[in-house]
Amino acid sequence: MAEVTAEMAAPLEKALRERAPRLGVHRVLAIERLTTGLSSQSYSVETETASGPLRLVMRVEPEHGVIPPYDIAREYRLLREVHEAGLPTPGVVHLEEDQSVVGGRFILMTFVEGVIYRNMDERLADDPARLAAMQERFVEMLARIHDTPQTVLPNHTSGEDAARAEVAICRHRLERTELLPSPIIRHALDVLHEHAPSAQRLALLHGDYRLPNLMWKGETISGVLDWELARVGDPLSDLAFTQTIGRGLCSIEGELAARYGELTGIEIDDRRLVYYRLLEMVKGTIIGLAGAYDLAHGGDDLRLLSVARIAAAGQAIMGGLEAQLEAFLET
Amino acid sequence: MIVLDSAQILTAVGLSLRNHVLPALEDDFARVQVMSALKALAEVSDRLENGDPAERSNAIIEGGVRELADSIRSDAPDFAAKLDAAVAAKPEGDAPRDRSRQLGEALWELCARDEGAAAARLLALLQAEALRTMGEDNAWICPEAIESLT
Repeated sequence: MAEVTAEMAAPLEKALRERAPRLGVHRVLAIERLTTGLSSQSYSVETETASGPLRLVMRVEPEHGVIPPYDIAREYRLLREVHEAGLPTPGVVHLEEDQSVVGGRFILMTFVEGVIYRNMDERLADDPARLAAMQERFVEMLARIHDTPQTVLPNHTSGEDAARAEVAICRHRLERTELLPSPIIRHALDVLHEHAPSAQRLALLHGDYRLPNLMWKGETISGVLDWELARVGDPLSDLAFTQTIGRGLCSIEGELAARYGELTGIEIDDRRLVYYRLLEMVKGTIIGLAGAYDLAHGGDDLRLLSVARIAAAGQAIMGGLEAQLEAFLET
Repeated sequence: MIVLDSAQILTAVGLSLRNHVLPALEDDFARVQVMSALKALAEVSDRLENGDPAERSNAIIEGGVRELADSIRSDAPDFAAKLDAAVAAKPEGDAPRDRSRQLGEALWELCARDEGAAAARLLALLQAEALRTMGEDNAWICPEAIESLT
């Protein structure tokens, strides 16, 4: 067990015995930090219980991070709802509100078995038949998510309302984390606020729907992970995410977008897609640049240096996306 | 100890991390932190040798804004005067990022209050500079850091 995580074991064991007795954890055998994830810190937790070994995943609300404000309790409630609704998500087994146990509030989830692929994973790029089958599952799962009811996240009255709410969140994040003023991002936010589109319908959005956030068993999705950016909004926003920040072998465009339209009855409206591509790019840029802010204010994950650099590059292409949106508005 | 300059010390730190620390680490998270640190050290060395990139960026933006002001002076004298004022204004501090902050806020004021062609050209100028700095920044991205997150 790495030293940084070994010191978590005893207090975690004590907390689980006292406040989650139904898990039956006798001992915490190992805690290993998982490297994926930009925001909440995730750990694999090996335990010994009355009924044998039990492997869990612990997600800890960060003290520092790039997507404030954090609310791991809300993530817990949402995960419980979507799991009960039948989506293949980890089952949440405990919410710990006491920040002193491991240095932040945390949730414990069941460990989902499966393989994770990167956005441009060579294992898939070299196997077109398998990729095609997985792309189909990828689209089907997004359609299922968009059809899943939930009561945890705030609702909106219209597509415009939902889009403007997201723009407001982006603006708030930018105001909190902007180290140097960016006229490009500020202008894009103004454009997005002004031209917020209506929506055919509103739905539960995953908000970070990309290959690395899915687990696979063969060609079946065994787990949909990382729900911290979930919200209610225009489903096309999730499609736009797969075309921009989440771009990769499973980008939902062309035939895959048409397939999504068949499954959901949602029109693939190019104007709204252009709008949401710009919104997703702006959102991703702000979140990435927040990595620099985090490092300047006590953060110690040096990977954020690289994330912030890539995010800064987002500003270079916002002008092109704005021009595309304006061209649609003029027609 | 004055016999080594800062770049030489940074180089030695980088070599130590690469040759002695990295091979001893089994924890993936720790390894990627060290790899990211190596990139950061290389960037700081480059700054010591070639200057602060914020200073270069400020100079390019100032030059572009002056050029833009001159090109629109007869058609949009008010906007040209505001551009002149933004470049002439002094920041509160002497550091390059103080200048970046003052320039950024002043130019944003102009973009936000004016929807005309000159304001659009000003934004395009800033976007071109963002594109240029993207090219410079690429050299300091740690691919292992990004890979560990995606």
